[in-house]
Amino acid sequence: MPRTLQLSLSVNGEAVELSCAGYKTLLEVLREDLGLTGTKHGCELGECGACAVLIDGVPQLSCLVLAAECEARAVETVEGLSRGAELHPLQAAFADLGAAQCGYCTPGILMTAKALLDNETMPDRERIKEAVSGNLCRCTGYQQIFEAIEEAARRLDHESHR
Amino acid sequence: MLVAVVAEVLGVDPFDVRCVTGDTGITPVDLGSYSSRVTVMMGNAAIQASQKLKDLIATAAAEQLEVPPDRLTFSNGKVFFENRSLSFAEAVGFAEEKFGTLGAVGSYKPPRSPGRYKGAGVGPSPAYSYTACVVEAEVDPKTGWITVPKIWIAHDIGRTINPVLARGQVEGSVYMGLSEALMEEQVFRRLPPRLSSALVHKIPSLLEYKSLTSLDMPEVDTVLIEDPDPNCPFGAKEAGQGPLLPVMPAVANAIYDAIGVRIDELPITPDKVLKALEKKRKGEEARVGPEHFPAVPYPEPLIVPPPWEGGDGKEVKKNDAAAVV
Amino acid sequence: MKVIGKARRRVDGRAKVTGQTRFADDIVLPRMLHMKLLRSPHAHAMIESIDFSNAVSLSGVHLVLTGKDFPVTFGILPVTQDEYPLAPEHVRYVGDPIAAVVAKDEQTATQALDLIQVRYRVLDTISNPEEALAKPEPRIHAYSERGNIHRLQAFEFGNVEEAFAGSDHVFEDLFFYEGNTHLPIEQHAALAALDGEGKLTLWSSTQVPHYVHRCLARVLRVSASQIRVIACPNGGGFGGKCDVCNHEMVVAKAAMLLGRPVKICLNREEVFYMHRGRHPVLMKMRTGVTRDGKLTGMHVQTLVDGGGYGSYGVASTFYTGALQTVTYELPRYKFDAARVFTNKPPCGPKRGHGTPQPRFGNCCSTAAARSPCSAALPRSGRAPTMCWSPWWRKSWASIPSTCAA
Repeated sequence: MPRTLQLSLSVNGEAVELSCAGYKTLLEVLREDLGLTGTKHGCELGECGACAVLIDGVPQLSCLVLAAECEARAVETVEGLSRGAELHPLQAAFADLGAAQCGYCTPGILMTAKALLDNETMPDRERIKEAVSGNLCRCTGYQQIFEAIEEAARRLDHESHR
Repeated sequence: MLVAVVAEVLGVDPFDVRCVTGDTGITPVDLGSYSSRVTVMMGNAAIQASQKLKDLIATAAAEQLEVPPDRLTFSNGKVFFENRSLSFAEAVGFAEEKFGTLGAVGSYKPPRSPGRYKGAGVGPSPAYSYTACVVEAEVDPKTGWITVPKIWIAHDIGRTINPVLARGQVEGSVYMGLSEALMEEQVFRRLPPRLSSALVHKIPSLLEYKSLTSLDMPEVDTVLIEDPDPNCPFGAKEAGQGPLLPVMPAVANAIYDAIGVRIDELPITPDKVLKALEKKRKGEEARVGPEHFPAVPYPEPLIVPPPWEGGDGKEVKKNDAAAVV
Repeated sequence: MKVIGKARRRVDGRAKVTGQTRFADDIVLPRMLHMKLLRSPHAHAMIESIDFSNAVSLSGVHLVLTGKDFPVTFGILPVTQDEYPLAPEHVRYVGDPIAAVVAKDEQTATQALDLIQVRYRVLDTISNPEEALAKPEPRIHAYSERGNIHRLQAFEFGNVEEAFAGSDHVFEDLFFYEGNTHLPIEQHAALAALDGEGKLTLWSSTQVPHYVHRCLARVLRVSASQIRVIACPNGGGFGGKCDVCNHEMVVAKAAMLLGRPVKICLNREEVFYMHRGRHPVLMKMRTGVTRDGKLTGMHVQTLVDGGGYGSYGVASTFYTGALQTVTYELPRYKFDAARVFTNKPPCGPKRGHGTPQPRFGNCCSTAAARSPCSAALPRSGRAPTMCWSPWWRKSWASIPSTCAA
């Protein structure tokens, strides 16, 4: 593996060129090279979901993805969720309905939930539980997270019908 | 919580309040965020500080509006009596003119515990919260697997400052209690002798140390009971710890109710359930738990007669104890 | 009321859902260096020598610190100032920090750890409370009350044996509550730097910035006025970030020596070893009752496994007995407790702090199971008698519990 590699990828819709050590994970590159510290680390082993981002629309654990694998891919992180200064319906619902307490698992869950709602309009409770089953939360007991995702689904559905 | 308390006293919009916390270069000394003390201690201190400011602002506003200060209401960003009003910002301006820069400090010290013996300070509180919990549990007698489909939790919170956040604390406590009841354990093993025989953590990872995922969490029905406590800010007590406590015993009692076995140790895992069922089948006492309690050289106790036996909270010597009774 | 009682977005809600909240490890400062701790691989040992010459000469390494650099002890309770930032000699659990490397990045610091050569004289491990009771030597702490028994406590409120003698039944139950840990999703992290005036600032994921501040002043022998501690938003605490931590002391000293910001973030395994979580407690409860379900007396005995250091343990141990009388009409109560040291990660405060364990016992005891009750939410003054699980077809159980506010 070359000592440093040159990468071209898209991050939150913007073209990014960077050079980084070949052994770095996507998580490390996001946090350390791009200053996007919204995505978190919790376990180093892909067990907690705090590092979840979207790669080409699919939720992935960025601590298990090498930056090298992201050449020419589209990465989305929590920083790219809001629409300008306005919150994405998921973000607003999470903030209003108690789905974020300490907020540390929140970015990972938001991205996972975004992928779910991008692909399914009104997922039922069981589907939501399954979708976020790879994200550990220690604070909420999950119920308010489910409710926030359901609320966001309603708002997005409403938006798409306008 | 602090923002809500200050905004309530001063009658302003919470989003107009900016809060700085936890910076020893700026913020006053406090013991920290633990022990279910923040709402009561910090909340009471915040009320005291806000009230002092309110009094200063009221004095100045009263002069402007020609109204006695104690008739003024602070609400919706205004300071008013009947149809005479100022905006909060205007009222502050007049108060600054009158008094100079406005600032106030509040603090809180709990009342002295009635116990006067060594160790009396641990436990007593100016207020107590109460929680009741009902757990519905299903046990598969073939595998010992425990499923908890639903938990009801009722918490006497005193006063709910923000129902969304209060519910979050209660449900989070239920989650953690259930997780402890069924799966969490900080356990150790010895490395093999060919390594070092060292006593190491058996499961130091988030996958192996079990905690509830979204799939394991039952439906939780939360009831917040409001019985405002006079010692507390707007009567609000705590929500961060109390609701955790009843969950574990409720789970154990639910399992007993389901299959008639008592598991007297935590976490309650399928292997223990199966062991207890086996004992039940054999006609033995259907209980799994510690078998013995070692001999511990406990010392002679501190003797403190309770109030209803004439005690005054002080320790008595052994001979005197007999006299008191 | 206009604000109290209303559902509102939390004030830091927006920051949390946009990823803007700055947790300790999110903070980056110019010329920042990274620290890693070397931890004891032995549960109980004496350090005979540390040779870090190979580590300090590795390219990219700026500093290596050991216990010799930290002569002052600390501890969260005044009565148990039993921790060194880096153990100078006696290590008491696998994971006990003994050296620190500061380097240009985590990778280099981690490589340097492997280059530190430590000679240990391994001592017998005390693995559990039974062993702690049986083996006063090797002594884990010289200050413990008796051998490896850290603390003994005993109280009697009314003559309980007399009450038992006059009871219709006395039930005896044993319970065990295994230890568990806080498992915050955010690992502990701290960043120390000297500001423009040369004063120390420490950002840390802590629940107790003022305790950390006072501790830093004493341990680093620096005037408190020269220190500022900023508690970053915690990614979960639950009591696990209530101790003053080894890494906070060490990272601060490193920043002061180097004149550059130094950061440390624990990895998950380290967080398990840092611990300060729920004490494992073995309990024996004797409860006297009358035929019509009134309590006559209760005797609770607890044996508390404290791990390698004191932490909040003396308080935790009091808590295994202090609140057990609340919600019950209990005329007499006796409580005995013992906290022992063992060669495991130290236990401390976790949500409930010493009360969930005996509350579990209380509410599952034979007396609880068999006594009738009148379930009423307690008002100030009068507590109801014990509650039992109703004989319903579905498996339900209701338990009153209390928590001191």
